[in-house]
Amino acid sequence: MSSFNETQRSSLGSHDRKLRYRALLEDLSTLESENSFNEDLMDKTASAVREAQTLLAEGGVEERVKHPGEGYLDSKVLRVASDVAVRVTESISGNVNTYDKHELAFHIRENPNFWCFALPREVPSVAFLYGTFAPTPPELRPRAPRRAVQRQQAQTLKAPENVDKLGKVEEGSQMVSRVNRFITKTYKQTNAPLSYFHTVLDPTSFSATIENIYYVSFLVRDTLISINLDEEFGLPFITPIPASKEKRDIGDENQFIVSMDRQRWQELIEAFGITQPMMVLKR
Amino acid sequence: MSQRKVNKSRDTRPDVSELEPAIKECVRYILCREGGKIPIKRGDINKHLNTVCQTPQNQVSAIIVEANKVLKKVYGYELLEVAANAGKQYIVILSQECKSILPPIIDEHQRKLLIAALMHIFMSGAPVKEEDMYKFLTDAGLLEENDHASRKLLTTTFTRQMYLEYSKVKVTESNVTRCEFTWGQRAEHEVSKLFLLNKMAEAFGKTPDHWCEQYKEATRET
Repeated sequence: MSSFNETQRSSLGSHDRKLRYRALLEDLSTLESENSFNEDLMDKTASAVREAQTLLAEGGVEERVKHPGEGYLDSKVLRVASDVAVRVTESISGNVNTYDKHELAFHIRENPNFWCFALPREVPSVAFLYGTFAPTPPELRPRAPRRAVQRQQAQTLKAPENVDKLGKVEEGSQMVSRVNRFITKTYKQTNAPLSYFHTVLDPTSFSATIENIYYVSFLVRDTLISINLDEEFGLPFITPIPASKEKRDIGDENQFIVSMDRQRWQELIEAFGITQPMMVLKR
Repeated sequence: MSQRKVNKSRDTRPDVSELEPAIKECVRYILCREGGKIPIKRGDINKHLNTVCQTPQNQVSAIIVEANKVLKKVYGYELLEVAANAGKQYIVILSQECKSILPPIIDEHQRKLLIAALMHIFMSGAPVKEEDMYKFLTDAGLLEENDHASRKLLTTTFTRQMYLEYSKVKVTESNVTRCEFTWGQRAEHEVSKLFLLNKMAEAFGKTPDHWCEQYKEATRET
């Protein structure tokens, strides 16, 4: 009794499944005749195949043995589905393959001027028929200063004169160091500051006096000597600065020069009673 | 004082007579800048109008609207705002399709390169890889082996003019970047795809629907 019931139920289930298989088949065949888009086709086919699969799982192995018709219908659904898939694939590859880039490239190579045109909504550029106004005058302007620069360079190349002058300066600095040596020597001998005017004044020559003033001013500038006003007489006296003494102690005042003309020179010589030049240098 | 002016222009119709010189200057500026085909920045228009006409910032929008009217009426141009990274940018296109001759100042070789590139991208139906593009152009006799100047035209000039878009794409598996060309915004507006397809049909003696997918794409936009 129970086995009869089971058989009846299974045959009922099988019948139901067969009906659903048939419905799937019907759907798929109408799909084929419809002219819908590829994507729709693929979606519908996929869902049909999925349903067939669930139907198969519902039955189980035993059921399939009992009702071979189900297996037949299942395979038929798969077959139709694969047919649809093939058709869809063909249409895709067919669509894309109509464009052959080599063909187009060849055509462009052969007819380059065919492929040179204005674009439909392209704004035609506003331009002058013969280009812009001739820009020649502005071009000339930068050229002129360039030439001037070249000339200047040529002038600076005349160097030899400077070399002569350099030699003269050399001579001068030699004299300065001679004066320095004289002052330090005399200072060591007497161990007292030297009177500035006695040192520089030369009663035999006004120009030698001027030169002495000049050399001494250099020594002051180089902080080799210092000149201080004597408190008792109010007259300038020279003191050499030892080399060891640090220069920053000396302070900022490193200039000393006196103005001198012939009249003043004469007056000073008489005032100091100088008859002989104190400093005799080889000229 | 300026506050009152603005209010007045908002209440009634825009007081065009007052802005007339600035509108004219704006039209002139756009006409001059357009030749370069490089998008005109909103900031540049602001700056120019400010220096030439002392136009306050808040009136520039109204001036651009008016200038666009003049451009359309007199020249048949249309000012089009395009998407940009920062600020607003404009390109100028014709308000309707028009068959025109190629302006003499455009270099023919450049134009051939541009058309071939746009054509190839459109017909391929997908972004075109850089190497593929160069190979195609070489096949078409437009690009020499080591012609880096022409390549630069594609990657820089046409890209700046917004005819092409040149973008780096990361390939996920191999972690290698490759570059692709697609249509730029200007191309999308200036060139109708059907126009290109008709050229294609003319060249190969076929009907445009011979290229089924491209035909669909081209007719969809109209």
